[in-house]
Amino acid sequence: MSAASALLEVDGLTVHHGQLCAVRDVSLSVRAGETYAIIGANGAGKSTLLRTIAGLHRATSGRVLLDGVDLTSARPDARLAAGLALVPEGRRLFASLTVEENLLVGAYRARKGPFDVARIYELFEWMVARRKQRASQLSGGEQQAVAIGRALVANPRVLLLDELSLGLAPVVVQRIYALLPELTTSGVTVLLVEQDVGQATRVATHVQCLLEGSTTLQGAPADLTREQIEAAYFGVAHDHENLAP
Amino acid sequence: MSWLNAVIQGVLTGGFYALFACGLSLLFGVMGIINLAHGDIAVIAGYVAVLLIPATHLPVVWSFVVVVPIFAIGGYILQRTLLQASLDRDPFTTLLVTFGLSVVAENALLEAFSSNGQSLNIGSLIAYSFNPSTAISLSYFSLTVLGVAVVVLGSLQLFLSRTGTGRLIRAVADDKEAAQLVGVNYRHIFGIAAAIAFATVALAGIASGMYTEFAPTSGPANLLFAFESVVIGGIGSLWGTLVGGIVLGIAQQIGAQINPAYQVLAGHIVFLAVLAVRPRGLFGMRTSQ
Repeated sequence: MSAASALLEVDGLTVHHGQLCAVRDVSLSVRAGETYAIIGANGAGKSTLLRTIAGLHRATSGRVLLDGVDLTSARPDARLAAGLALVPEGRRLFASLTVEENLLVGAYRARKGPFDVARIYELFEWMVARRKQRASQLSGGEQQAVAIGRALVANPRVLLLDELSLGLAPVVVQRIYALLPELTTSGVTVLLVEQDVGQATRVATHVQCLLEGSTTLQGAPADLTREQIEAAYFGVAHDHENLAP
Repeated sequence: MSWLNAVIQGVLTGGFYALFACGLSLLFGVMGIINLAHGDIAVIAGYVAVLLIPATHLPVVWSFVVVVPIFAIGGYILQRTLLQASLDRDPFTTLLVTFGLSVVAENALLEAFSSNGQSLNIGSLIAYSFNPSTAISLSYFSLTVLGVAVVVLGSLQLFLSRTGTGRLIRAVADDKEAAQLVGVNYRHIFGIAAAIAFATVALAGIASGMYTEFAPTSGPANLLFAFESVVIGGIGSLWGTLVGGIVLGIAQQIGAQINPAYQVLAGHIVFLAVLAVRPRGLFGMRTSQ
């Protein structure tokens, strides 16, 4: 895992929300073809980290590099053009636009690559029949699929997924996560943020756990024990025994 | 018959109001800005026409060909500089800044042109009318303005719904942060919306300058009627704005028919009544967050 081979490199990133330090000196390096998961409890700074990588928050210090190019001070639209696409928390579709219009807006500054609107319709066949419907009329799971499609048509090099499972039924979440291997095959590298540890460890090739803005643990899911992850996630040492009455 | 005439004159006046209002409606719909200098921009357009036309040797009636593009460019530049800077702070700042612009514009015009009224003289063109009966007179000029308003609103509607840029404008209006995430520079899109708004209000200012007089202090009245048209019609609906302008025009003309002093008052009363009964306006449906 040398820095030279990393596609997305985050180096000592610190982000503040006003006085509050939301992300504290976090580094990560995502190699091409990886599915990299950031896990952590509510308020651990996962979303802030992802939004800062996408350019929606300004970093207090640290750098964000994509394929060696420093994007730390680039605007979000420039980062998309460079190959970073974020599927934001809560989907954030254009509510008054139709499904198809959402995808077309997503393709506005598309790079060359395997994805276009037709390819998205192949991935999600149900969308064809509903392409003229307003995005606001879709169910949560359908909206999530459109949000992913909207990011994919830009042909990102790294797809940033923020809390895909939030507010969705488990079966819907399964179906959406089942898509990830196909994206990887198409050459998309995935960096995702997830509260659900089980889900994250199933799909990821590398997990990194945040607690109160700092990295507490990282490694390949196979190398990490359940206890290690629990301790890193909740910030408690192995003192379960002591708590037992 | 004179009541029918009042309604007809109201519809014709509504064309002017709709033309004044569509830029205001667009800016509010896309950026959430209420441009308090909107009416003054129309007045400035009138003065620009007065100044420029002698130099271009164009017939006065074609002055919009020169003035409207100038205002489109000016609108884009003003949006990308002053208005964007104020928007980056908060919406209230934008309200103060446009109010300030209005005051500055009014006083600068007073200083430069005095408070005397001006008009754009298109000669006898203004006088032609169609008289289906002795009590009814349809001015060809007003009919043309109504036609222009319909064409402008219709084209704008088509532009927003059918073109790629229109789609981007709607996307930015829905969620500008999400628009950034798909690679849209929303500041540029805001600039385009402002260019359209300034172009249409310049057109309105010139049309009104040909029809009647304007003075440095005419701006706020323009703004008020445009604002009432937008609210009556419903925010976010361009056809609603046309209907709103016509409803306001009819209300004013009927008020004037009852008593000439009631003209403006009747418009305000209808405006307040619509606000009380249908706060979203006649055609407003979008729930903006």
